[in-house]
Amino acid sequence: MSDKLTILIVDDDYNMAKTLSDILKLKGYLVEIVHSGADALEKVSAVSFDCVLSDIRMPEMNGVELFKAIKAQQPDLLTVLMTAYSSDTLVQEGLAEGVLAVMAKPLNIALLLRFFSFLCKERSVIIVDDDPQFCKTLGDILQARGFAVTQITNPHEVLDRLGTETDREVVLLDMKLDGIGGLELFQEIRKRHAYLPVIVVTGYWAEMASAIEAALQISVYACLYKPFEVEHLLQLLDEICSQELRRMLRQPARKRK
Amino acid sequence: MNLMRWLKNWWNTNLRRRLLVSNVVTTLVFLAILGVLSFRIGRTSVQYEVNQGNKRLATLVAKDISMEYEMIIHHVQLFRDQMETLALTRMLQARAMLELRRTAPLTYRALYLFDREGQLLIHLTESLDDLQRIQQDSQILDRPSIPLTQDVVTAYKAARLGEFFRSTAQIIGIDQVPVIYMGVPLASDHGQPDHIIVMEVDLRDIWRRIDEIYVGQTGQAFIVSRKGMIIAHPDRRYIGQPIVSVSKLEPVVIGYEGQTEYIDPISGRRMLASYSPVGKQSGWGIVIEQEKTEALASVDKIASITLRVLAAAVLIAVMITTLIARSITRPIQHLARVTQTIAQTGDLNYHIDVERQDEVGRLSHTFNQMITRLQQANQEISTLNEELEQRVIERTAQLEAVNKNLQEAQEQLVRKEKLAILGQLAGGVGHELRNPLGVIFNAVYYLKMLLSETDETIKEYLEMIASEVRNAEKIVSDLLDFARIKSVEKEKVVVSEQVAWVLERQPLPEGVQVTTEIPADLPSVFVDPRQIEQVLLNLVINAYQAMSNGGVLTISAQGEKGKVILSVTDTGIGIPEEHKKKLFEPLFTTKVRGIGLGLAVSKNLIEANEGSIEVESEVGKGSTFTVILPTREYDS
Repeated sequence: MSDKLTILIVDDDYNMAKTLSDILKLKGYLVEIVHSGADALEKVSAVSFDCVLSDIRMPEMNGVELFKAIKAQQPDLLTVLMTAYSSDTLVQEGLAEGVLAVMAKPLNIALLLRFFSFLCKERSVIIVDDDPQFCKTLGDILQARGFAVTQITNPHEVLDRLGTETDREVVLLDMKLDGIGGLELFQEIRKRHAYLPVIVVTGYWAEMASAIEAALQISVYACLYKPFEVEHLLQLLDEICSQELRRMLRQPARKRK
Repeated sequence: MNLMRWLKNWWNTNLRRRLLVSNVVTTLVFLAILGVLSFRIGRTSVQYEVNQGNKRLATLVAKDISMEYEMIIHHVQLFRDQMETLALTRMLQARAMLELRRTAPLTYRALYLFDREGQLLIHLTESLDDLQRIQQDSQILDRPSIPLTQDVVTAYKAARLGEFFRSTAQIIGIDQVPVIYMGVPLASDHGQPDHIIVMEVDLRDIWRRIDEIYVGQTGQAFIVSRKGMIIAHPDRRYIGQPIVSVSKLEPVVIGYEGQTEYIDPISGRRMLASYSPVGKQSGWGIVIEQEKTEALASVDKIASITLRVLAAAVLIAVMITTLIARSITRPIQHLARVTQTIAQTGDLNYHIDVERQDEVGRLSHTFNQMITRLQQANQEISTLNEELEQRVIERTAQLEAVNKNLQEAQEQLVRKEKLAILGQLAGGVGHELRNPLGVIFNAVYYLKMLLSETDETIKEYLEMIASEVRNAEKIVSDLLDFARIKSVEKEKVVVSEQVAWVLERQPLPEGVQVTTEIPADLPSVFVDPRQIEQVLLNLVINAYQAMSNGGVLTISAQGEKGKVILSVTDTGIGIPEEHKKKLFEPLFTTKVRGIGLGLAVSKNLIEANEGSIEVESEVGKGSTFTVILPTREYDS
């Protein structure tokens, strides 16, 4: 994704739209403002946006209806709804329809900005496998699909090569590595990165069964058995992306150690 | 009328009295009739006996006197026969007459000898009793010089006709001498009497016999002549008196015997008399009289004895009746007393001993049965009463419980309604405030971004605005939380982490110490972490505010089956009793700032998470809020 995100703000409250737009503009995003659902749909058809920020309660067409219309046109367009009415049934409806998040007003600007900055970043996949061939082939496929790929064949380098929490990273971890067990490595990763999504890959289903079981207990995202369908992996990666985006938009409950 | 009423009352009020009086009256009447009858019969028979006795006496006396009389007659006839056979000279005649007088059974007071011509030849008086004197005085005697009484003449005349004359008894002289005159003709050859002797016979010797007759104290005998005159009587005053006043004695004059009763004219006393004639020729009648009182004295004595016996009998009857009456009435009176006691006091604990088999015994027995039945009935009634009371108590308790429930339900309803209205209002206001707050917040954020290089005062002011907007947002959030705006999203929450996080977030006031006592093996709770965090935050903030002068905050927890008990204890000012109840109600606050939703929201949130919250507090010592949270469902 490019550095310049294009964002559509939909709110019948002019001041709200204006202030939000100004903040985002100041952060360097390209922002468009409309004040009704109809205008928004028109704008979406004309311009390609990375994200739509829409109020829920608007006259004529509400945010959820707007989202449904957008989804019909562009299913991949990320939509975040905003509302002052957190108990509204529309909130539940929107979430059920597949909206990325519903944010309460007054907006947590910092959170929003972190989300956008996260969205700007490249999606990257870290492949940890002592088989260079496997790394290469899979890396090529993923790069072709637009992912940044890091290949690590030496398990001891893994911890040093992991990015920060705000990086859009997914780890593909082979369970059978030289020198260090996949499970131990995963545990080490989890200690440092609570939310880093990890997909476990193994060719030894029978041998690794207990390790996999343990890993699943410590919240590994999924487990793939070699050989696996690349499409299946891509599907998993999309799921993880979407989940990560949602996580970014959630109000921080607490600091984690 | 009063007397009648009194009598009626007296008669009706006492059973024993009635029995007694009836019995005594009956006895008395019976005995009185018996007494009177027997008295009269006794009297009559006694009177009859007296009369019979007296009559026998009278007959005896009459016979006796009659014999004396016959002796005189016989003596005189004997003398006449002598004189008739002997033609005597005068001298010899005189001598014979003296002889006659000397041998006579009675005293001849005087003797007269008359010749046929009525010439008194010889007159012997009492004083001429010896022959010598007769001789001396013969010359004198030849000349009848003394006057002759009518009786002597009558006797002479009767005798000259050849009749043997006897006069009735006469009382003569001052001495009241009873005499009879006899005229005796002395016959000669040719049948004509030559001489006639007249004798004056003194009857006192005979009469004296009468004087000797006594019948009791008052009884006496007297003789009545044919002319109805009393010629002999122990009391000389009666002699010579006619019996005319005692006409009832007339039969004796005619020569009958019998008995009668009369009132004596002189003494005035009632007398019983029996009478009998003396011979057939004397013309006298003997009367035996006796005062009736004396004659019947024995009867009267018997009567008086009988009377005493009667009195004693009545007395004994009274006593016996009293005893009987008492024995009859005692159980009845006892019954009456018991009945009265029961009637007055209602106490049924009485039993009458049944000693007898009669009606009273049966009555007592029946009474006992009745008492027993009454006691049973009473028992049943009191049992029923107790049951009823018990049921009333139970029902009352139930009603009270229902009432309490209703009241609580109503209070809850009212509170809910209050909360609902408040929630609506809060929701509306909150939401409407959120939009402008959002704009302000955005604007400030923008300015802060834009003016990152500007001077500190502006930054400070911008920060102030942002801070206050956050405060405002907090209030709005509270309002919305209170209105249960957020849905509960439960997950596993580690209590110690949550507590640490809250304590970390809230700056520690000066002088306050914090201790946590949370066991390492405390199970996780299954709640919405954000909501529980908010509750804990509220409690910690409240505790800090209660300890503005310092103190100790203790957060402790312990696990129990299916739940965790979390206590937040401060050593602050405490909560007055009257505030405790309202503590969890919305809009109740004792703080200068705050709208009083913190604890109300906390309670709502905890209850939404299926937990509970309670408070204990003492003014001046501090408060403890106890929160009970559920552990994971289906765990443990």
